[in-house]
Amino acid sequence: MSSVKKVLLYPFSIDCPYFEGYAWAMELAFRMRASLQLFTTISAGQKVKGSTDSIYHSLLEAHGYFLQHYHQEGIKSNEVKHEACIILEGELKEELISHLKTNPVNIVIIDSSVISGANTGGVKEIVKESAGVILLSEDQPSDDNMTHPSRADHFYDRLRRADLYKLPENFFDTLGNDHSLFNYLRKFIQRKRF
Amino acid sequence: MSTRIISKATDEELVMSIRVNDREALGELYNRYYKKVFNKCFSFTRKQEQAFDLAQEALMKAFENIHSFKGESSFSTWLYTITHRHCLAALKKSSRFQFQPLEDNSGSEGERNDLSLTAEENNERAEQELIMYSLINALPEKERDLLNLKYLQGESIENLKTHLNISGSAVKMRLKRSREKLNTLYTLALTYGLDQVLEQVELFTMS
Repeated sequence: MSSVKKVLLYPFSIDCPYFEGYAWAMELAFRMRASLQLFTTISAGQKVKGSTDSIYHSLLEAHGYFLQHYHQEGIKSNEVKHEACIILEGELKEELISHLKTNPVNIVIIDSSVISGANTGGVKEIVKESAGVILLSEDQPSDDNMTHPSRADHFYDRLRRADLYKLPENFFDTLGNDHSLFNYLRKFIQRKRF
Repeated sequence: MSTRIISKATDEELVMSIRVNDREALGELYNRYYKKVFNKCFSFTRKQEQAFDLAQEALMKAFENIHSFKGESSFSTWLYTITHRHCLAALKKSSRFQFQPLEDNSGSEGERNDLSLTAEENNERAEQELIMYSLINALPEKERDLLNLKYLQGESIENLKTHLNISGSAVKMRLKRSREKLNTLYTLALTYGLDQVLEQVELFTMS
């Protein structure tokens, strides 16, 4: 892992809804000027073109979701460096842990619906093998929120509701350079006051 | 535009809606084409991951520049042209060589300075290069390696003789056959379309 270039990893499964988590991970990568690695698994012995095709099709659809809901905030996907999409055979959590042992990244972003028992300690092993983990909560924003005038608010709202483990010291410094964070916090504080 | 109307709208109507910031229309139009764009990219690269990257970039390029769609052709033609050009640019970038006509005396005659070519001629040449690149990639490994060694890496017959452990005349014969095969496929691609020919090559290679 390079000390300069930050790498985020987003594990997903096409059998669980993941578009919102993918878009959030893209946005985090954009705000941190980091590159984003995607990680998924397929059943053992199924790594044939047809099954991997469905993964790539699904990822393109997820990217369409990102384009539809996030792009107009000035977040350009071509400014987010994509690392390779890693497709391994086996069970997602096991393969992820084993992958992280030999391929460390700065932050792993986990959708709690993707890892079974994630909210009840199921991420402990992943945290152990990671430099930092963000566990996104399952509650999705409503459609109204999707058309909220500020996507930044939505982004920081999800971050606030996420469980954070072992995040690198410079994580908040990096985000601290983001002006939209200040705007979000100001609104949040104002809401709390009334 | 309501969901029911969106699903029945023509591509061009959706483009109009996207221009007035209708995100649902954008989602609908994107979903109509992303698989086709991926498949088109795959027909050039024959590698899923590369095809995914190219498709993602081409789709972004198209939707970011949707205001430049003037309706002179159908939306699908416009999108496929962007995809095609994007694939071409990427393949050219990743390829370390420029194709020359596959003749024995390649590079020794008939060359013209690129600067003297018109834009149309340049496009045509680029198109030919893309077809040749895709066809070479689709050939069986031995033939592909041989053509790459000779024409990409510029290996001499002498070196190929040692590398392949066969006589000089056998190297020449193999090169001649591979060139002829490629030239035939190239002609077929121009006649029936690249996708069609690549499909057939894949079938023969697998069998």
